[in-house]
Amino acid sequence: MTSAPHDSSHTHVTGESEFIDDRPFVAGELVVGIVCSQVARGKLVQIDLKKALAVPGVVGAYTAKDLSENYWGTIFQDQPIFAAEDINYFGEPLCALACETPEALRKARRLVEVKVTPLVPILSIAEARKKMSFIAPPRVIQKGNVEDALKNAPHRIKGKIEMAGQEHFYLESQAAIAYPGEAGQIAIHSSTQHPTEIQHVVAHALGLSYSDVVCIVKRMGGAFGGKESQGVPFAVIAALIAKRTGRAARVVITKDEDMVITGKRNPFENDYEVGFDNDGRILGLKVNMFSDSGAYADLSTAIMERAMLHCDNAYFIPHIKIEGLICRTNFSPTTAFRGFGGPKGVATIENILEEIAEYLKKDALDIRELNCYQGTNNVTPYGQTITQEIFPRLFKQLRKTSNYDQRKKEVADFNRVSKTHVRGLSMTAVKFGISFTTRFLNQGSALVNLHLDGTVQVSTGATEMGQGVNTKISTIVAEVFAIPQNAVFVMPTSTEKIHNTSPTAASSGSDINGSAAQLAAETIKRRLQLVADKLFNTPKELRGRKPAVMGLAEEFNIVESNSADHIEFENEFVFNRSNPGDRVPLKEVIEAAYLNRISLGAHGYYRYPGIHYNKETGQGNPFFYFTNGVGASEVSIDRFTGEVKVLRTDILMDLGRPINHGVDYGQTTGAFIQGLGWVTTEKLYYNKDGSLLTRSPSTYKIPSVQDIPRIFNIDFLINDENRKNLSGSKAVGEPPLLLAISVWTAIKNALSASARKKPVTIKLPATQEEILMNLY
Amino acid sequence: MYINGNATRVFGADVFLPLSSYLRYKLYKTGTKVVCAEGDCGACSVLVAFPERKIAKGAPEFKVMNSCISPLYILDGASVVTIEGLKNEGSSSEVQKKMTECFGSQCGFCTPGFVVAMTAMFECHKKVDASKVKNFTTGNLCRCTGYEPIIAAGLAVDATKLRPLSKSYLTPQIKKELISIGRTEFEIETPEKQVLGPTTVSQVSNFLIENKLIRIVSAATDLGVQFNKEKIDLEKTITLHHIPGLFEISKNKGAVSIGAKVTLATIQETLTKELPTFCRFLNVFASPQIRNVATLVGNIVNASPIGDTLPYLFVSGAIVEIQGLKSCREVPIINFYKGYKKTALLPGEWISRVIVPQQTEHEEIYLYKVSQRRDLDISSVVAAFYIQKGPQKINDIKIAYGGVGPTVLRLPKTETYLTRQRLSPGTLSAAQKILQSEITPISDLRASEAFRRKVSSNLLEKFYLESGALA
Repeated sequence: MTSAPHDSSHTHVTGESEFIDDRPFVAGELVVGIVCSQVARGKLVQIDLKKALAVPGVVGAYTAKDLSENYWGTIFQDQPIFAAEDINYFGEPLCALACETPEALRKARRLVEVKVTPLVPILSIAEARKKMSFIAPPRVIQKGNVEDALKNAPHRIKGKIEMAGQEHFYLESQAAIAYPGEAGQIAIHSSTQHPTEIQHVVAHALGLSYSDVVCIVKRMGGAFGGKESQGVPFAVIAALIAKRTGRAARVVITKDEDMVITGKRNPFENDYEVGFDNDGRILGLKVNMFSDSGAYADLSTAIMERAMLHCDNAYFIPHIKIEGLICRTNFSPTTAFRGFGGPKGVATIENILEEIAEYLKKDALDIRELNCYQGTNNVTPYGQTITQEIFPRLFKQLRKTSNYDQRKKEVADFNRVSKTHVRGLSMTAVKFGISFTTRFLNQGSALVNLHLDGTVQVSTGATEMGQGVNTKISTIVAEVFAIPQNAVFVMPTSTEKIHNTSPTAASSGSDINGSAAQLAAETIKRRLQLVADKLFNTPKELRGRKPAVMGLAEEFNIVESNSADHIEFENEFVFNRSNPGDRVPLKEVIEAAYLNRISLGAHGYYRYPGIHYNKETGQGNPFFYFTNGVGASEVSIDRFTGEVKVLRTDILMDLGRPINHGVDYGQTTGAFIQGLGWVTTEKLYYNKDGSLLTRSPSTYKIPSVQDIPRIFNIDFLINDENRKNLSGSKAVGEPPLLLAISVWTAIKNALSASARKKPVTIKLPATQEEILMNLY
Repeated sequence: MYINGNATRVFGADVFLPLSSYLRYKLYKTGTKVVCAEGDCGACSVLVAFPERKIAKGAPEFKVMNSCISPLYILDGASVVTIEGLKNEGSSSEVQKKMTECFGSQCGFCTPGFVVAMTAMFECHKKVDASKVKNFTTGNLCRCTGYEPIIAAGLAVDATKLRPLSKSYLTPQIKKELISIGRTEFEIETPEKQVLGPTTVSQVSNFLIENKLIRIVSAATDLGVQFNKEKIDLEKTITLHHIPGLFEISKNKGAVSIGAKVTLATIQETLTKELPTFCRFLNVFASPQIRNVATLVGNIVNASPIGDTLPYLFVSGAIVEIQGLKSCREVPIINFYKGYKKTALLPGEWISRVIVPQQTEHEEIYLYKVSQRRDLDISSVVAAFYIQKGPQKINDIKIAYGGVGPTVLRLPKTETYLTRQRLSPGTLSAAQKILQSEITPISDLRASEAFRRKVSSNLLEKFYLESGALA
């Protein structure tokens, strides 16, 4: 484990790091603007571009007619790049203007005249259900006999949890620049988590072959799932204009535009019925999940799948039936967002556990400990066995270190006397399944090039969005060669170096791509071991460049399938374990390899082993392993205003053996605070016409530095139990976000202290208004 | 102006660009990022000093501000330092080093803004604690780190290793040059735009009369946003920042007179004795980047029903000084607003000063702001209570609410009812009923009518409690 700084941080702090819009303009480069729909649903009658095209400096205007293929979609190809006949959401792109200057664009944009026949939009899950507006047939996961279990249970609670969407609010809005090449070729620099999808969709849309298109990703200024699929339209528009004009084209949209055009986290409304015994043991659970996909399918089916697969979370449920249905509405197409469906499944069950505790007047943590996976209660609803009995340990440890029991008493005492504030305390868990639930995405490859000066360039399919995947990959590769980490350079992701890349998503970026890079580096290392073995058996006068150039030394003949495990690497040196006197600098071995025509580059390929999942039966082994954690939060609510403060949060994560402590710590704090925003202040407000009114930070409130818990303790359970993954590490990107649900359940806990009617039903996010209106 | 120590002369249409655009697309200094283009995220933060302006005792010369909403012409005479100017002889500064070591940066897009904001902090504080770091970075949003590592970086900085900015960027030579620029009248005209920079008060009214479309741009914290969002084009403008008198604060007869160009930060730095409650309240007004440039008069003339400072000015009895072509008149602020975003200003008139009575020993003022997020947010409801307590009863009470009507409202019926009353539970519920009859809140994206009504009553109760009557 290291704590080497983020590999880009040295240039991040000086402002030298290059993002898309920081690239110097090339001669003739065009500025592109997008004109969007001002209705949520309608028939597009006409787009009149005459006046806009007459503005000096406007080079061209482009609509659906200009594309060879207008429809795209990661799972179902149902979304147009430009609305053609039907408009399905407010903000849907209608046409693009290519201009010489931003000033010309500003003038021309308002002169585009759009004629639309408005239709009545669907603007809620309830309405979509009424109108039977669904995407894909319902999915089911079930185990045992839930109807009987519910019927026979001593206690039952029926309820509903409503969870709203969330804006990604990556700081760098969607952006792409396309550069035209010879013979119709296009190179695209895109801010995307999925360069291969960009490459493929651009090729389809423009009628090119995949080999005509290269997509390059240096880095993203944040993504969080929002650039998994949704970078596509912007890259296609840039590429279209580059192809048509023969000039570079830059699409960099504003934050306001981004928030209106692009999709957000899927809202969910889940109905549930739970049966339990006098101790609070869950006997049966039925959940009907309804998600809002917005206007198009995007990734909503996969998101629903993950939501259903996370309904159990850390808890054993003997009889269960989960049904998921995806509603098509007239909002922007909702998409991946850190946690994918996970948070919606986990919030549902954590809410239920809180309600069981309230109903039985017991402590909610006791109920959780009672129900968590342990002993033979270790089979999930989808049939995967939990092999590590981790939750009893996590709960017990955090109960102690967070001083839970004493604080619970203090909270109750405080609530009895305070006239101004009410407090709540709650601990929740996360068991996050690692793997894409779509099996074929769980593969990755890497290219490692070892240079003669001992530095290494690594290319993988992973994209860097700040999460530190490149830092982890460079650590892994440096360890293989026993060289300093700063000798390893992770290069921009490019589809010409690595093809068929999976999106950097599902927290799997480091696992898949790091493992591939490790395999590639090990291939080269094996060759170098064989070379070193020969080298140590070569007289000194026949080593080095001169004898090779002069043809005095016989060329090494090595057999790659052989191994020379007695040759070891250490601190940039190579030595013979059987004869430690044989010791040379690594660089000498590298040079010897080159002079003896031994390849110093290698390709590595990796796939998660042993995973399968039948989407029709809802059974299988979808996850390679689980990243687990628990979190306890205490909140204080102002009785007069509903303002909430997080007084303290304690987090305990099981991250195996972290590759880089600092990176994993930052992923944990960052994910938690992002989750905190989702469950508290981040409210998307839509007008009656379906337009988003909260479209910038002045109205959409992500957490600020003042909103983080007053006391914020983060601890890792360092353990060796996860031997099957890269260096014993575990994926970390998404799981800690789900622990912010402890803030929401703590709010619920606080409100129940003053409630007349129980259980207290609050929506998520629990905004100040939501809280105040539920305070008595 | 100077940018990172280089004399920079800007001509023609470039003068109307936001500073961030000029830096990024004309000077190719792309370290300054733009995210929201509305002064609400801090990614575009730069440091600015105006040597021609007096600064409060102990206050730093360089202040952090948002470059995305600042047209270049309001920076005439400034020394600007960007992220590119913060390296120390080619190597990273102490702040930059600690941000790296403490993992204060992930995706890197907000990072330059945080480095700039933190540098501003260390210009005036050599020792900091976590709450100071938070207060100085309230105007900067980060979506990756959860802030904890950034705070750790701030705490790890050894401020003695930082070179004061003025050593490089406010040399005597630079100062001298900029002071003379800061006192020089200017006018710039292109075929599409015009900006006037007068040096006397009388010129301003003349310009306003000559051209009815002309707008006074102060710090552009609102107009700059509207321009970026393409709601206005700001073709003809006047800037007041070369009129020295408008930067002055004067005190006499138990009141302070605050010039039109006095920033909220300057008020906080200089008037803590005279306006203690107000100065404390200003901490939850916007961000350091905004408070460093935004003016109190700007907040007044903006006429927003949720202007954070207005309820306070209503209950403290503030008076606005209005300049006209020939005369100057004074209007109590309670008579200044004529409807939603409508003021008493006549053609050619503008506000040159605001006179705010000082708080005396017998007067208590309570100020409340309710917003979805406590800091850096626009209010849904703001309230101000002024009270003079007698031995048993209320001698005098004034109540003003923002966010519950088309303008900020005084609540005369509630006030009348409460005068000579006791602050007891009985009078509270009666007063809440009257209060409800006086307010007319609406539902919008910030809050619903029901919430605004409930919170309005609750704030009265909170005031009861905090002023000691319900204890």
